[in-house]
Amino acid sequence: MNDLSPRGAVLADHPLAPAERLFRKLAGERLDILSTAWVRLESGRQVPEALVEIRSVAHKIAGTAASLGHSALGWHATEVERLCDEGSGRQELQRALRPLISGLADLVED
Amino acid sequence: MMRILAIDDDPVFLELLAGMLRMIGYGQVTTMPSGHEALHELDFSGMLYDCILSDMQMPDLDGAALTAAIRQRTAYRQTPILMITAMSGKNAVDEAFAAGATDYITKPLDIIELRARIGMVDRLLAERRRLAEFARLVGQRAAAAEIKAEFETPIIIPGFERGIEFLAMENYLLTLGVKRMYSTSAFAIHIKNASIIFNKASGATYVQMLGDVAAQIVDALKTEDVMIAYAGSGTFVCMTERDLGQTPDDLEILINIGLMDFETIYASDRLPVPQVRVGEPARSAFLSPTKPTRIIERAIQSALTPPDKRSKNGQMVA
Repeated sequence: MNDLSPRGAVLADHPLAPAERLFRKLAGERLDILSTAWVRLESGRQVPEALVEIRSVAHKIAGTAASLGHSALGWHATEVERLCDEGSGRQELQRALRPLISGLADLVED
Repeated sequence: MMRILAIDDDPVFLELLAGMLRMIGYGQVTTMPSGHEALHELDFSGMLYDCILSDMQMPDLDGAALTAAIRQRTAYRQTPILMITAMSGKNAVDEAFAAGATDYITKPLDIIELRARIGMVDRLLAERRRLAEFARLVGQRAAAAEIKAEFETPIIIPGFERGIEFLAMENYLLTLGVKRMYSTSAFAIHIKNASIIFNKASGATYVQMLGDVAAQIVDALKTEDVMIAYAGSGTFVCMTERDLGQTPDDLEILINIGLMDFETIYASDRLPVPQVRVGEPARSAFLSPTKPTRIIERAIQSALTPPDKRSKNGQMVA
């Protein structure tokens, strides 16, 4: 990856800048989905639906974050996707979700 | 410039892919958010795309189903289709190759890998354009002569729907992990009199003969879970993760009996009926790392060698 800013994101005139802008724009929406799913996991209600949504969002972030310079976010998303695929326990999944949600929140605040 | 159609349900990934493609010199990229919309684009936009990049995991229509649907369209039978998949989705890649994908790219995207894969497609398309231009300039007769000059080339056999491109088979082998590599075997089916028929027949008749043999192979293996590709030089390669329900000898007899049904047709062209030899299956040797495509080479070598001249245990180990 070339021309990364000090924070790891893509500079404005870079060919990947439109992707980076969209990634940031959708970060809020994805944060909402993951937060809602977290609450469902916590309450034990609509857990299967929550797992589908968590996996879908994690899969999308895992596929793009690292290429846009957000390596840590990509790594956490990959981990969450893996746990979903392996049918891991709720606590383990929530533990993995925490840094992913936190990373997305940081991105939204930027 | 190469016209690329990219399909993914994640808009960020589509922007990223288009951006990376621009960075490596491919600016004509159209993006679609789903398989259904991609098929609509292929059918009604009036644009003929040179290359298709599709995500593997999509809701509604996944990459394998989309590939199969694209391959049913005459204009896209040979168009390179590259699947984009997460590393964890290797099993799904199997389905994509079986459905007709040419190669795959892993997520997250790496620009060096993308450049290498797209570069390969570019070279493939350039070669096809060269042949098409040759045929246009010098006419059908010379085009047939061109086929003659390319005996070794793993050409795409018209009507051989169950076959995959030889390049795709090699790419598939490279996707297998060590464990699956050891459970995969390859065997080859060689047309013993291919070079005789090649030298006597026109290019078109020779290709038709390959189609006849391909049809018999498909018929003989219809209950087996195998990938089949034409490797050139009158040799087909089959790959499977299961033991065949029949021995190479039985398979050979079955195919050759089927081919004898064409005797009258070949006699009218004063050509011998094609007859095949089925080689022993080749597997990767444990604790002996070699390049994955080595089992294809060993399988072909076995089919080229008469049984009495093969090694004693018969089975070829790569």
